[in-house]
Amino acid sequence: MAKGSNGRITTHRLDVNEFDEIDALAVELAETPIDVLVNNAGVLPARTWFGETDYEEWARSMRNNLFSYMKVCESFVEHVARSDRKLIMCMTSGLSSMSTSGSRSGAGQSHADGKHIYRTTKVAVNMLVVTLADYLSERGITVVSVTPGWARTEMGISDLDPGYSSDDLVDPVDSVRGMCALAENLTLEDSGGLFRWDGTTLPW
Amino acid sequence: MDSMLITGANRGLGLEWVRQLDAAGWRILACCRKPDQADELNQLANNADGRITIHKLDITDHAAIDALAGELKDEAIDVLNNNAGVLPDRDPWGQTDYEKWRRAMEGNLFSTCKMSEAFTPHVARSNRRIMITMASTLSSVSTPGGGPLVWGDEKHVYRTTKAAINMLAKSMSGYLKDMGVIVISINPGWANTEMGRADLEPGDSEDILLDPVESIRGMRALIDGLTLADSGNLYKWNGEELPP
Repeated sequence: MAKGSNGRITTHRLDVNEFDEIDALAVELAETPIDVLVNNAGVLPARTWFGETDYEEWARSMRNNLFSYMKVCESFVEHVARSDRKLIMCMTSGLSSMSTSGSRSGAGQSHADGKHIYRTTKVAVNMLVVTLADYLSERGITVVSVTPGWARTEMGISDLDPGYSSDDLVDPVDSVRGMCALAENLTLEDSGGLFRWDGTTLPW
Repeated sequence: MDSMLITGANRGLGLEWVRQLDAAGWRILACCRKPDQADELNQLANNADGRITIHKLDITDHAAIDALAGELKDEAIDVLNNNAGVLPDRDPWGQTDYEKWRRAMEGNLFSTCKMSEAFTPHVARSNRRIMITMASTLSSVSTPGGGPLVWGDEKHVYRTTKAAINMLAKSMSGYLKDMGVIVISINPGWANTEMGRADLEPGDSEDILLDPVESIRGMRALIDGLTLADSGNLYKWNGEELPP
């Protein structure tokens, strides 16, 4: 794709767990305004049941899903601030909602689906986003949490609930099309919000 | 006899829990990091005819948690009170201390989960079968709940640990429902304790802080009225619902 884009697409080697690499990339791109910063990379830890929680995995997941988002925002805030659109989108999950279980399966009536590690990282992302919205409002930067839906990707297919097939998952084309439309419509007044890929709001 | 295992029992709200439950005749398993420096707690224990026992425990030391759970394996614990926690320093925008954030997750979130995992059998064999996790005035994603700085109060590290605790309580309530264990998260209020006072803004009067006696009295009334149908709920110290 990059080769066919006449230089519009550049690829950058980056492990978001390596905070020095984030800083270095921000410096390398110091002259580049960034209209939309998407904190997209994240991990879906393996399910662990209560009583068997893997705390090392939890710590790694917090770093990868939460701390890295903040670090990317801290390092790239100037690039976003000098752009036209000034938008930061942080990927969260339907499982980040406290008031709904967020799961599609009947078993998901409760939050007991072996994903307490993932859920806590994602509700923490939502909390981070409402604080970021406040920190950055004076600079005219809009920050939102967006759940891309349970998409038919490698990660999504790896985590099907019993009784579901990949046909039940959101087409990645639809998910990204929806998020692009959402990005077009967001204003500073939406900052701090929690949105689904289709532009509707997700309950906290 | 009703019993509670409580962490962080040597000071603040933890010590007030011990005072009030001691007066009410409870069996109390009081955990703290440094029992030899917990003068007030020791004094209470010395006058309790053996109802209060003190247990040295650092809740970030998971092996120590397992060891204590083994040592107490014959005890029934009516209420597991995950009271201990940390209030990290503030992080101004752009200066987040990530190592401190990791430690705060360990001290507030992972510790609560590990304690609850290790003591599930003790709670499950009790009469009341209650586990409490500590929320905060600042733990709601839907409302800032803080002072004049609103969300951007440089406490994103603390806020994220406490929002995560509320989510953990929701998950735990689901995992433990079949065992009849009730899990709730309670915001104890911004109380007039050492930790609470440390967080006053310059010029704030201590009068805006909640009396710890009132906070614990409210939480006691709350847990007295709980049923399994309440499991997974978020509360304020006075029994009102805490927003998600």
